[in-house]
Amino acid sequence: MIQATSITKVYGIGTIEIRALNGIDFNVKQGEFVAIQGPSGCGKSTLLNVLSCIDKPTSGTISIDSIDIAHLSDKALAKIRRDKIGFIFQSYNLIPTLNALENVMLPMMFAGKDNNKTSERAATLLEMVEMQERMKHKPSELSGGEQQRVAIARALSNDPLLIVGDEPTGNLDSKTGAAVMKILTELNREGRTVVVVTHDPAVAGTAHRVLQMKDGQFINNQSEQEEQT
Amino acid sequence: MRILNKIRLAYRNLKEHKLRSFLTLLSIAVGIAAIVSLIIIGQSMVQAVGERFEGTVDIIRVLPGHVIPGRDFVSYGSFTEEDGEAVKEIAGVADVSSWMIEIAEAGYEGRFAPVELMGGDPADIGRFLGGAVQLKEGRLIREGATREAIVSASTLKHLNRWLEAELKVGDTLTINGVDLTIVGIMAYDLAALDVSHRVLLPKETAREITQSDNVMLMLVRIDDLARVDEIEDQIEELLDERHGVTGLTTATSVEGLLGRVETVFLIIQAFVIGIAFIALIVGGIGIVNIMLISVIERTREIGIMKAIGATSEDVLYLFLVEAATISLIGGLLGVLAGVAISAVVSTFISGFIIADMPLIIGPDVLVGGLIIALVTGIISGLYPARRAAKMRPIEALRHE
Ligand SMILES: Nc1ncnc2c1ncn2[C@@H]1O[C@H](COP(=O)(O)OP(=O)(O)OP(=O)(O)O)[C@@H](O)[C@H]1O
Ligand SMILES: [Mg+2]
Repeated sequence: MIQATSITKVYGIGTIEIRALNGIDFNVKQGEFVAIQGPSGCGKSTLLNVLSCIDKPTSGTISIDSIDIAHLSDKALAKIRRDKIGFIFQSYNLIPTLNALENVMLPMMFAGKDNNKTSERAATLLEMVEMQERMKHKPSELSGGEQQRVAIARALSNDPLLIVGDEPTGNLDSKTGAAVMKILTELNREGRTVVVVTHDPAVAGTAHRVLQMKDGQFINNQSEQEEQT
Repeated sequence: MRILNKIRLAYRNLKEHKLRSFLTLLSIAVGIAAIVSLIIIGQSMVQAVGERFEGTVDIIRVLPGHVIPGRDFVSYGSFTEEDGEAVKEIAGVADVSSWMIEIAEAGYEGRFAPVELMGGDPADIGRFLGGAVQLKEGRLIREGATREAIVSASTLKHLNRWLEAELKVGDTLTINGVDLTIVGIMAYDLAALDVSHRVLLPKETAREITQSDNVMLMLVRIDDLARVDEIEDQIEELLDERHGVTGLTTATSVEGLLGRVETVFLIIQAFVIGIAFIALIVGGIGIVNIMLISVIERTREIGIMKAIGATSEDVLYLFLVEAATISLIGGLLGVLAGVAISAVVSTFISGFIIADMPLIIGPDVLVGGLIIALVTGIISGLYPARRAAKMRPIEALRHE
């Protein structure tokens, strides 16, 4: 699903260079559940952003679903984000002016899908995350856990193969966080590839692999990782 | 993305900032209202004036004297019937109708009012005065009748005020001792001929009343409109010569008058529409301003949309549709206000300038108003929308 080789991401502020990613290799098989952990500032978010085509690496090659994304135009990258990847943010990032249903419909709207079907699908997805009662509510009227469930439904709207979460439970209490993780686990059982950054120790039990990051690199690549590279 | 969804999202954003959106669309509405009302009124006036002149474009009006435009008329005497015969000989002249114009005193039940009599061949009323004579009530003077007269609605009003009467069709007025029955009332004054507050009556009767046969007005029908200026000059020269004067006879055509009226309208319209366009430009700048603020405020939102798969084009069109929606609503309000303003202004015009002016509200004006508003909105939205579209998703997402 993901093949990333020698990824670097260098931020230059004035004369100081920050290597947020330092020649990282990262492979994820179809259907895998990978958790990434590490201290603050070690480059976890940077890695996810680069993998999700939200940001571009300074060097290295990445292919998503066998598509080499290095030479793709901005428009093509947007389409990959739209159709192949469902991104879940730590801070939910719902559009404040739209209600839950419309937020879930949004990626389908960008895909130009038929209106009746999109609202039907959005409703089904909201039902799946147990938000069917709150479809007409704006994000400001929802709790953090509820917003995150809407955000998960939104990430699923174009039926992506890859779900990426950057500390999706980071802003939630442990009980709500556990519920969100349970949804992600179920999505993985359905066959979707899941990559999450999380500090939640319980995730170690559910994920196929837990990778530890430090200073823009993995420190304890697990056996599966080694097998692939 | 489908256009309906873009409109839906744009509408959500506008609703979020109701006052701001309203103020912006107001400036567009003001500009559009000004343009729409001016065009409606201008078209209605030109049309109304044109109608009054209908059937008289090929008529040259000849006066025995010098006209100081808008102010005075200094006569050197009067024409004779022979003058009319001479004018008829000029090439291009089809027919000549001579009219007496005299001051007289109209009496009714012991009260008196000054009137100007306009005496001519009853058959010439229809033939030479054309669309200027639109009967509101009654009928024209019968051929051969001698005791009949017609007046305009405003002349009748003037008479009734002086005579403290309520004269109507069928009533009898005494002019210098001769009883005349009012057989018809014209809707309009003979504006085309610069004639107002006059009583139209057969020439014979006018002669009888005034004991004179001075022809004070000649109406000349020509059969070659292209040569109207040339024929005017020839008439003036001929009559100057016959009366031993130079440059005093005045011949004017309705065609020329109509042209002047239209020119004046065009100048006024161009001037006020210029102001309206300035209002539109101000409105457009308002949209640019509001949209730029909106783009900056929504940077994070733009980042989110891009992160979940919006292309730059999606974002561009989203903001363009938003600008277009504001301006279209503004345009709609402007068109409605413009129609309302024209309706109000036309009642004033109908009361004071052109009697019973019908409003002409063509679909072209309404649609045109909306299109101008829309174009203003889209042009103004272009720069802010491009700025939004060009944002990089990762940077926009980081924006707080
Ligand atoms: N736009 C940027 N400009 C400069 N430096 C940046 C930028 N974004 C990230 N960095 C730096 O890159 C490094 C990695 O950042 P990143 O956000 O990936 O960390 P993280 O592992 O997600 O941390 P956290 O757990 O706190 O979210 C940090 O040192 C950070 O300061
Ligand atoms: Mg992070």
